[in-house]
Amino acid sequence: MKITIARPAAAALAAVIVAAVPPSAGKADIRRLTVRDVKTDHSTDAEAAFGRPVSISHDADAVYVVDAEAHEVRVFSKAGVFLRALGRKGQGPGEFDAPADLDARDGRLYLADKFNDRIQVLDGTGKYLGGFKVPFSPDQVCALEGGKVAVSHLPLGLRGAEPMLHCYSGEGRLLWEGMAGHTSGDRTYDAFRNLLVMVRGGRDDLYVVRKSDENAIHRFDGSGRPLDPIVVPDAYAFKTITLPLQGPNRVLRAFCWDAAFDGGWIGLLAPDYTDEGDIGPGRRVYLVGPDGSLGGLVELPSIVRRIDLDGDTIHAVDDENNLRIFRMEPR
Amino acid sequence: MKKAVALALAGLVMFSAVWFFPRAAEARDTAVCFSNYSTCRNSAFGMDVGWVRMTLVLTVCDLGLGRCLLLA
Repeated sequence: MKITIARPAAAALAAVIVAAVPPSAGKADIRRLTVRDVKTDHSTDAEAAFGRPVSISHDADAVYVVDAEAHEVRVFSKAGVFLRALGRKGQGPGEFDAPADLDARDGRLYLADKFNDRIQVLDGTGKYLGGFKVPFSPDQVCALEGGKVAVSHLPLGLRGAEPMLHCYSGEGRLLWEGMAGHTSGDRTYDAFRNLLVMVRGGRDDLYVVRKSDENAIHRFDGSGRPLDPIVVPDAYAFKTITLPLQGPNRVLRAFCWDAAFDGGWIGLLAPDYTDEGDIGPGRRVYLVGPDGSLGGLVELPSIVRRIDLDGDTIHAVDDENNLRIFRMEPR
Repeated sequence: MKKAVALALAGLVMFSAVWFFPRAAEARDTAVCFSNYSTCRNSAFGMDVGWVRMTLVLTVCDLGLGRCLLLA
């Protein structure tokens, strides 16, 4: 099983964006793309309904959904057919306690095993290949070049500005740390400010997006050196929310619920207001180019919690926790 | 006057810190408190619910930590 960023898939995405109806001159709107629901029979497919899906990703052969409630990874074909489940609750090799994220690379699955405070490496059948402990509960994981593993965590806010990104060698030796957590003394507010989405961009770059109050996509190379951030233009609207029970830091501007990368494009799942006036996941995915340009806006037929870009295809988990597969088409 | 108030507050903070600082025998219990607090917050964010609801859950975690530390 070889995992690469598929060139044909990336070209397919670029072709869809270019073919989409361009924005009218003088207007601040964006090329709009519609989608076709490729997998529609999810209602009868028990394995494609999840307890608490927290991550979706893919490699050349399969789509992986991490279910934190079931403590397992469910593996599907690219057409959405259930293939197998990996892992179970436990502390042994190949067992998980609330797995939080997965990245598939070069035939290996890298898993953030949250409450076991470790990173596990498995093959596609769930066979344990290796792993290491980390001094925190890992939140997200990205497999970088040369076996390096980038891991993020949510700081508790009790020890000042802790680094939230940590990069380890394959043997678990700490190589570098970065991205200090926001600290204002208000732990709840800071927790929201420190919510991150971390995705692998290209061969060895990390893209990190704060979920609120910042319209920049931070980039790091494999050695931890910060690269110029990608600034998303104002046409991408924040959603403002006033938090209850809080002190002076009550207002948050929600920027992103989830993110994915493929073929040079970053997909940002925009948050939206719920019927109760809360902030939740939305149904719009903005495609952001490497220069910060908004290349397209994908309007999905339903609200989704997690997204994964795969060429002109979006794998997603909807707000009823079902696997969805959408094919993008120019409007 | 300002200086006096600042000194009084600083003194109060120092006194509180010493007063509430756990003795060696209690350190294990407070460690459990912080471990539970970490689990509570990580679980809260794993719930993937709306941010207002999340704020309430995080507040419960804070209250739980405060109660645990008081009892430790």
